[in-house]
Amino acid sequence: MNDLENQLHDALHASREHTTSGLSGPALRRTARRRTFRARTGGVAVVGAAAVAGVVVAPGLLDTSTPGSPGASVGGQTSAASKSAGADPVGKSQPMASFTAKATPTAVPSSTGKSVPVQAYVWSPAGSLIDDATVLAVAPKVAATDSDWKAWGGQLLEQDTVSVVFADRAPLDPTAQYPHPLVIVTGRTSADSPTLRIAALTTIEAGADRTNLNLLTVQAMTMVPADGPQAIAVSNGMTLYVVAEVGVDSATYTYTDATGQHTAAMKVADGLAVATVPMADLKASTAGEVTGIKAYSHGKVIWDAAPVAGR
Amino acid sequence: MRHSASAGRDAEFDAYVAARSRRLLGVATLLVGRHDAEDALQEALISLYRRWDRVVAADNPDAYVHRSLVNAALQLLRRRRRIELPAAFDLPGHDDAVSDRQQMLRALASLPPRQRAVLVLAFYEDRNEAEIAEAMSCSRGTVKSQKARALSALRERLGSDDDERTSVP
Repeated sequence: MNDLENQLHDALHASREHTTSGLSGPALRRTARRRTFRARTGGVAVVGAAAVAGVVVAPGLLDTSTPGSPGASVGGQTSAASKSAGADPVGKSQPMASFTAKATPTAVPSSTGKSVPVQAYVWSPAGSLIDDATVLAVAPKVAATDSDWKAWGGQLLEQDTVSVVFADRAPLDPTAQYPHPLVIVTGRTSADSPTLRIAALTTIEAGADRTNLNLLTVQAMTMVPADGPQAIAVSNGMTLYVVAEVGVDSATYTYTDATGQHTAAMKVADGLAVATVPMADLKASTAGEVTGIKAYSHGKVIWDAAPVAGR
Repeated sequence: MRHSASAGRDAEFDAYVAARSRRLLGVATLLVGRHDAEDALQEALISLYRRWDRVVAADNPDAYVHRSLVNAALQLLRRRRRIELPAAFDLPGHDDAVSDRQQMLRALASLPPRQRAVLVLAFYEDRNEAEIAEAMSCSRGTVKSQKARALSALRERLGSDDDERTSVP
């Protein structure tokens, strides 16, 4: 190789360091299957007789699961806003969804072969598990009663004040075969408390059954402005993540090591930003630490501070 | 038995994605820019999953993904006249070497997509001409000529304008 080729080789190989993470095989397979299912159904799911009453349809959420489980919802009654599916701070193509669902008249064949008019509501909830019955039942209770979290020094929330604002599965452990459930709730320590708190729940101590939604526990909690972005950035020692009710479009983290301060991009997928803690770099320096995370949603900064320490 | 075969197939695919996706994301970023890299790679890998049995039988999943990414780059660049490199590439350099690398990457980003693809596959993925020809669905002769033109254009850009950014001719 000549000098130019050597320089090009050097530059390209050095650029590999900027790619912090890859994609998830299970997530890709799920997407492939979901698309296949959507193609078969034409993007419309019918909830039995409820279709006549004009209930459900979330083409972007269709899964092989049954209605009422993840991926199906009624109306738009949760507190969840939209989430972005892309990693694009300039708003590539994802419009911000509204709580006011857009009604799209359509028709699907009934069991008798006649077309039945239904209302198709196209919307994007905050996470594929946002309407999961188990999540909605378990998460508020855990945020109010998690004795391990309390023993760790954390505060508990008044169950009646707890709202689930995000729920999905996320690659929080790079060594795990399947993504962990990640549920974000907001609430107050008492009904009359002026301070709103936001907590991240996952299955950190669930052993082999890390996908079990009944085993959610509190991983981290912090305060959040009631009128500001409801977001939380967490470091559990292995993984950094940022999650927000409105979804995360892009995020970077900054860390210091023996060679100085560095900034690296976090991987964003399905409105969630994740990065693996640069353990080797941090361990090599006495001053090694992650000093900050900056995350954006729809062009606005939703987190600009050090991550909350998670247990 | 069918379930078992499917599980094995899925495990193989997952292992491939775990082992290769980080590096392939780098290829995608260099080919289509940071805004579209994950989308392009996701589309390529989903397509790969659907053809997994056939692709694995031919023992060339990388070539299949490379071809998908090159096609994505060509389609994208018909609509868009510039790509954007990751923000991390734009960080101020601490020394001349870093600055030179950034300049090189910007010059690379300014090349036409086929020329850029040849250089990325050759110097990032370390593929030989036959492999690049397969990924780009062209002859080895075409790869050679594209590579020569790309290097010539790169040399010219690096020599003529230090501040050149990512405009595509």
